[in-house]
Amino acid sequence: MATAAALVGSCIVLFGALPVLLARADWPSRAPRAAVILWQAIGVSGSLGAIGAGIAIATAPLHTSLPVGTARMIEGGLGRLNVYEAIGLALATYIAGGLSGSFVVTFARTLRARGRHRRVLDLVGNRSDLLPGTIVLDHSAAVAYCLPGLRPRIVLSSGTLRTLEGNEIMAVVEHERGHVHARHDLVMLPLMSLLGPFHWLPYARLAPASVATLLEMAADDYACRSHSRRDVAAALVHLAAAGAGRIPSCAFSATGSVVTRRVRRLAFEDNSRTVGLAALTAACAVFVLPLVCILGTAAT
Amino acid sequence: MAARLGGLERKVMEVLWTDLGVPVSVRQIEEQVPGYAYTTLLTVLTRLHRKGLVRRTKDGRAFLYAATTSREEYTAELMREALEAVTDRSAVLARFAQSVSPAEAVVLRDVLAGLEDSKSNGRTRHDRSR
Repeated sequence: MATAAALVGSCIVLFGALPVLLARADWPSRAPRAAVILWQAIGVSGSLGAIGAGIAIATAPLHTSLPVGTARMIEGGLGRLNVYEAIGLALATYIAGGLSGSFVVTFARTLRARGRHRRVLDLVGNRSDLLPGTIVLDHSAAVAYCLPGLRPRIVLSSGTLRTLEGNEIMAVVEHERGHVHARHDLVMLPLMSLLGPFHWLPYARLAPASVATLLEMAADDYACRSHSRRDVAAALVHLAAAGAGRIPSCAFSATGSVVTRRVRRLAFEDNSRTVGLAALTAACAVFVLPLVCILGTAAT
Repeated sequence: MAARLGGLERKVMEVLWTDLGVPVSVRQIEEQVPGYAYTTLLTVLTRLHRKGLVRRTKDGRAFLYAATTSREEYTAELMREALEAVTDRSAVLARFAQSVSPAEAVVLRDVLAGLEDSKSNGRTRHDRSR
């Protein structure tokens, strides 16, 4: 039972306490990509740990070690379930089934919405001659976005072309290319799918917004490789201000909107290699945590 | 083939969008989109009808075709989707910048002005390297 208790404890830390701390922390903006990996490690580790906890409950009467206990349970077959097995296996099945089922549904829904958007886009949008791989929509509102996927599209409205200067437009396109190249949509998909069955978990509630912000910062960094920080920041300020007052912003938090945090970061902050390494080390530690729980408790 | 048909769908829709709501025959479309066989145009129109982009009415033995929705309405629909997209609620698309309140816009312009000053002073590392 020690293994099960350790795994349940680690899940509470991973899905409950750690996300709350991470979402409040300031340092992730200094190493956005490493911070995203840490968020992902927490998600993977917590999910595996939770499934493992279920199996550990089921096999607890058989052996203190989870691997040995599982082997014995498989050997003995599942003829009649005792109460431990019933509770443990039900838990493991619920978590594994909920995770994979919700992922499939979210994935399919997202692909369908994207496909429909892209088909209309290809019909009414104009391919830009000046910006290869970019589609211009004839609309006065200033909007820029990317439609990710296997056949990605980078879209600017004609309002955006009027609002921004040449360098700033190029910086926006480069930012979107950053999203497309790094397949940031594939990072977001599993997080979105968690929101379905496990929306009550702090991790499921906090991870999507935090990671989405970090991915925007990572794409800003990508744009900064070929453009000045000023151009990226100016594009952000001008586009965000162009819609000011007209469209309510839904992305407010205590530290200001995501746009404000990105602009401040471009203006005042440098990325830190040390912070990045620390975050990656933490990610590794998080990743092996369930294994430590299983092996550590088996010895006693 | 699919890509070619996609391009042709666009051309056909452009014809239908010029006189919105006025039904036209395949022959009339053929005149405005030269170089394609009658049957190819018919295939494209059938596809567009199946997708709901085109409405058709019986005229004797043939059909007349008209666009169901204007180009502007489709554009507005895409823009609405983009404007309503909140990145932490959907993985469908990623918008470059959400809108901010007028008060926040003022603050942001100040930060940007500061960035331009530091650039002219040559203090920003990144700008100096360019």
